[in-house]
Amino acid sequence: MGGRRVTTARDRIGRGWAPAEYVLWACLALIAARGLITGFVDGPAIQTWFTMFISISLQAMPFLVMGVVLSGFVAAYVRPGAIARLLPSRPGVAVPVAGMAGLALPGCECGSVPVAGRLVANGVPPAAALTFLLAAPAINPIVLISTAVAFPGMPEMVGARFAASLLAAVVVGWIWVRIGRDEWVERALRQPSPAGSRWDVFTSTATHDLLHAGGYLVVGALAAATLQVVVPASVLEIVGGSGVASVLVMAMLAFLLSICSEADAFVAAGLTQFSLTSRLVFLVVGPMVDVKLVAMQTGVFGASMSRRFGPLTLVVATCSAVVVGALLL
Amino acid sequence: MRAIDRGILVLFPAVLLLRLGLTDDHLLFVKASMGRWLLLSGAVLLLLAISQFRVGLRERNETHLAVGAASGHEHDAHGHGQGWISYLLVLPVLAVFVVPLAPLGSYAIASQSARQLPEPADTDYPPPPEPTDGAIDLTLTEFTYRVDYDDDRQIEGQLVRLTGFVADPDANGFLLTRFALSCCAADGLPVQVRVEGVTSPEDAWVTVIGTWEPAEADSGGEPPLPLLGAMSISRIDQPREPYE
Repeated sequence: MGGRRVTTARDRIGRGWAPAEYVLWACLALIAARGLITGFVDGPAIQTWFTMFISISLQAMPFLVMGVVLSGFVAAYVRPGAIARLLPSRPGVAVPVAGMAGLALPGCECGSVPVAGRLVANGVPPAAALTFLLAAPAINPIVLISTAVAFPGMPEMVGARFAASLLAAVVVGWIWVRIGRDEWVERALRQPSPAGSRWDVFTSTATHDLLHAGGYLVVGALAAATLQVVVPASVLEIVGGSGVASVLVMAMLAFLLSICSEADAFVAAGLTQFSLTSRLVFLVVGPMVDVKLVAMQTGVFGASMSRRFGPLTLVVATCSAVVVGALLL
Repeated sequence: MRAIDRGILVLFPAVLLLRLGLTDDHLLFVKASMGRWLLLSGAVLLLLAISQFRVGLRERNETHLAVGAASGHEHDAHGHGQGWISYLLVLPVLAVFVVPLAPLGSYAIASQSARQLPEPADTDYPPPPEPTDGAIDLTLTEFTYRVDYDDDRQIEGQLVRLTGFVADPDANGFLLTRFALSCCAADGLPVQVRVEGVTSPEDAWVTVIGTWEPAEADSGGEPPLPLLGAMSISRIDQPREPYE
């Protein structure tokens, strides 16, 4: 036991309020005053916005929780470097292997971001982790099955989605092997090594990842809800069909709508005025890069990663889908 | 960020998940099958929040003894400026407690209607279900599929009962509407049936009984909305599950 060494920061612990407590009391006050607020928020546009915002947030949460539980598990129970040892040592070969590993992680893209961040912290080469991040939401069994259900009698759609998504993930990974720099994913690499028992490491890691990714998820949900309410569907009807314009529209739509990958197949099946290839673009781009994902990637990896990774993924995914669509559909 | 802050912030989404998962209100936003996942993940977050409060208590106790290597310092490595984003987690749960909760209504139709029901796998339709109380209960989706794809036209001449909310009312009728979900409310697809012979205020929930009035042979292009000639209409309360 040493002597007393109480700094001003430590003085505040145990005395006074945590900043979050202020937020909590403000919430309770607002809730108590809800009768006054209701009049401001019951117009149809605002109501629709709130319904969309809450539903996007709510739908994504369980997947995010699953992702942070997994990431906490990796931090607490998997020795650093153990996962990297399972991969081929040459990055160029590790990338496709990591892509195929995406088959194993079911669920929406929200869960894969914290897991990928944790893999990087564990010692997996960033390129392989990023390939996994792109592939898992797009080629896992749940997504492939829902694509088969949404496009009955068209197994080529499932095959095309699998091929184009894997291709895009691997190409992005290879490009990152070439030009990616560790300082861009610094925030993920710089994870503090938590101390304490395995349970403590698990809970603190899961909590940390949840708070980071969750905050950015809310940013994405705010943006997606706003876009949904503000952009009327008639904008789409003008550009239906095939050709360059429709491909770009589908890519943009996938980016803006941020629909979870288990369900986007049903949305694409309903966009009947667009060609199959354009809709394949929608299905390949959506799970890899959208408003919600860019926000979450910024939270886990940092802005210098997401502002490079986002456009790169968008371009590669679109091109991959167009090429595979031309060949298979 | 100290443990008690983290605990409170984790509590926000935990309360969101439990508040909506334990009541029927989640049916306004997501499909019924998500209910158990909301509860499970809410319980997990509750456990995480409790774990952080316990760490917080430990931190508080330890400050009065020697300050050792353990608590607190692990988070100094982070830029404290970035922690504020996590506070946004308060927004969804605050919305749920402050704003009146409502499903998508007629306003959302404009932003969602560029899509159509996808073609069905199987156009071999069995005979429609037996009538209950004199009319066959169908969802708007089932009705639309039978009108558009059932070559045997098995619902022709039968009394059917449809439920939805009113959109675009005019003197002759309205568009009976219900949103079909793929994932969550944000991707709801409005399924609409034109009802004629009765009318009702916009956004009212109604049950209509009538018969299908087949359109004339279509001249190519998209088939028009199915038409129901209504015999009776009654206002109902918003259903527990507003979506199809």
